[in-house]
Amino acid sequence: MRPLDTETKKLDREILGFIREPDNQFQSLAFKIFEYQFNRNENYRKFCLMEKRQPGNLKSWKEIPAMPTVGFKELILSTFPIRNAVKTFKTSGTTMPAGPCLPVRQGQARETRGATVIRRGCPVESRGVHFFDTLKLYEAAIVPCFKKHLMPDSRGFSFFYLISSPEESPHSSLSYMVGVVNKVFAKNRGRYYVKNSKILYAALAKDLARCRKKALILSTTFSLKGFLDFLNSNKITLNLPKGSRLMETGGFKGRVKEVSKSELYTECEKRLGISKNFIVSEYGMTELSSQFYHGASGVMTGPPWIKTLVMDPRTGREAKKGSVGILRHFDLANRGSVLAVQTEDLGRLPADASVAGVLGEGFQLLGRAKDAELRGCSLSYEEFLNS
Amino acid sequence: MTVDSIARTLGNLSLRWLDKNFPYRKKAIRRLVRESHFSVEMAKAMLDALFKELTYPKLMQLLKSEFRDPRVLDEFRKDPVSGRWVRAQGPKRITHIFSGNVPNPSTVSFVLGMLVKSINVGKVSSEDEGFLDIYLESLRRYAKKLAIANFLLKPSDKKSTIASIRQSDLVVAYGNNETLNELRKEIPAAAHFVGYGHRVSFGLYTQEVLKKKNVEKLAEKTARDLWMVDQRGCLSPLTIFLEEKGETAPLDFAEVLAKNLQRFFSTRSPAPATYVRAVAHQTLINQCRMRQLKGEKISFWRSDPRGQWLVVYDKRASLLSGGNQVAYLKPFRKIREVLKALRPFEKHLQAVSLEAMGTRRVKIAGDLAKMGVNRICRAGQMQNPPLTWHHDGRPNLSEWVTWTDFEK
Repeated sequence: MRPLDTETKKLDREILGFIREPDNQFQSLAFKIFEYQFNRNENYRKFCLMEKRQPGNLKSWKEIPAMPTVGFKELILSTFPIRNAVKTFKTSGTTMPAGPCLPVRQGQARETRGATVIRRGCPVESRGVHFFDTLKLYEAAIVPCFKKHLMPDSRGFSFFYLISSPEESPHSSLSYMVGVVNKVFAKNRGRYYVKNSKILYAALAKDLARCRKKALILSTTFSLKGFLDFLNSNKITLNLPKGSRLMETGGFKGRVKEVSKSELYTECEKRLGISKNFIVSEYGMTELSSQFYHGASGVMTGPPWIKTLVMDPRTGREAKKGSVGILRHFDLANRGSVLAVQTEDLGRLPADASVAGVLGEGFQLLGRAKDAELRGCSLSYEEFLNS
Repeated sequence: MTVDSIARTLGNLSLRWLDKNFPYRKKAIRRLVRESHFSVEMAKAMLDALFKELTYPKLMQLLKSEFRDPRVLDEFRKDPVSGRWVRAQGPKRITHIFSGNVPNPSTVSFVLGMLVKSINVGKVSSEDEGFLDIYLESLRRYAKKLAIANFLLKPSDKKSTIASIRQSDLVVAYGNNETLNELRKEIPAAAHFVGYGHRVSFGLYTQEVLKKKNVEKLAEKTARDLWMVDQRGCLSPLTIFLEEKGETAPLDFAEVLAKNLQRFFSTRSPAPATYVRAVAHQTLINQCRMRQLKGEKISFWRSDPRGQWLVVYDKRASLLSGGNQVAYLKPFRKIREVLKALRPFEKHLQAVSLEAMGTRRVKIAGDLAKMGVNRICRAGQMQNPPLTWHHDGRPNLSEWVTWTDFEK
């Protein structure tokens, strides 16, 4: 591993300081990181110049140019030579940019995070890549948020992961996060129930049935639904010790018939004995370094070092409170790539100001925008592939 | 009723539908706006395009082009070529199955069924019913005799649909391949099945028409083709191929088209801009920007307000890149490049707006016909197919009837 240079080390110290003790210096730190990235990340600099924005001429952190997630697929977005990367995380899925190419069937869904984009044009197997020259900030960002949302009151959990291990999925940011949780909170004693891409439902059911301590289950939404279906079809009801908790993440991404969150949580209550108040939904992206959590409050909230804007796609400006828009995140922990990321996820700021007021900042996550909702008898790419 | 009186009655009803104060027309427009998400002006333009083709002279023209002597539908007539006496009999019962959100074909299909004196049973899409029920309402009011042979099933009633199919001697269905394949399984062995699948249309303009003096007009016509059924129809162009080395470069034409789209959409209301469409456009723009950063020559023009239309100039565009009010403009040097780009889609080609001069236009038309394109028209006319058009490349009525030959 190449040592970081002095400027980087100094900046990282400042970011770590903010993560440990957040103050009101978000904007000045954001500007510093922006300038650093503008100077060192060549593709981002070109993008900023295309947007006619550069350090020194911005009034607010909100004006920092946000790189679309597709940029992580098409470009190298790194503030350092990528040969110095100590870690790379990759997004899942297939993208369909416009362009000539032979059809490729949609790629296998992988257990990584981020944008699974299906667009017209031709499908090309392409995954977004996020490079890291150090994981210090990444790890520092994980721990306090996880603790706050999943282990606010107590210790003494047994850990179960319906997610593959970081060894098995070295490019999955989610697996990496679970690895950090396992190291920090579970003393490396948690167990993984996804092996060789197979989900070990029976083993998990057996181990959970024997669990005497409170259980802490981390799962993708997809695997959780599979597990609940397994319990249902085998008529197994687990009554996990009181205080057990569950974190689900990732949504369904169109892989199975989607069920609503409330249906899913009702099933959890019935089959696992974990009540809704003890289930937390996590929202993370390969392109970011920090995560959001959604608890009983009804909105997704992030830590103080990440801020989110809801952009109205019809105007390109911030959406009004209560209206749907696309989410744009500003993550100070994303020092090695770009701190401002434009997603394709839809969200909304709660219309009820008092809710927003109580919680500080937060948004409702509404998932992906459905593409091409108005299509008549004109041939679609998906149909052409299946013809 | 004789075929002539049927055509006359239907033609008269069409004239009423062309009257802007006709209450059923107003009702249909409201439906198209509220349920099918077209704008008021799109709905008006669609109804005009439809009923202008369903007047008495146009209906007679169709009958003549398909049967030469339409009275074969009434009685035995002497075929002037063979000297035989022949009579054509429409199916006793036709089940029509419609899908998608382009409503005009459903009315045409019922009108054709009435011309061949069949009982018509229709099932519209449960997601988007169109306005066939309103048309039949108007028929009950103004042509009771014809109306009694037409029935609509509840859109969600699969059982009755299958039952009707089993009793039909002709099933006409619109839908995607999956729907058509499923339906095919239900068709009785003796019955005839006509399926209209999803298809793709495009534009092709050669260098000699890209003259400076033509360009504004051509761009306006292109804007009309894109706007009219909200680019949802199988006759809507998704990609326009533009030949290089004309007086106007393809990139410059793209800019003129963008300007015309802006004008066209701001003077005639576009479909309501949903945030979903705006997001889809934004996603494409993001992809364009990334490719620009990589040094590729790709340009885009977006609407103001956003999400109404998008023009992308892209050398690498595929035939299916467009849609959802995104028009791709793809430059080319030789016609064979266009033919190569069309080849993977041969089975699905529908219409082309071919703008070229004289014999070259005929030559290119021949090449396109060989590839399976079934309608070659002028720019600006894509959404106005004549009733006599061989829809999906097949005869319309003559395929539906059976003949009796009478040797005297």
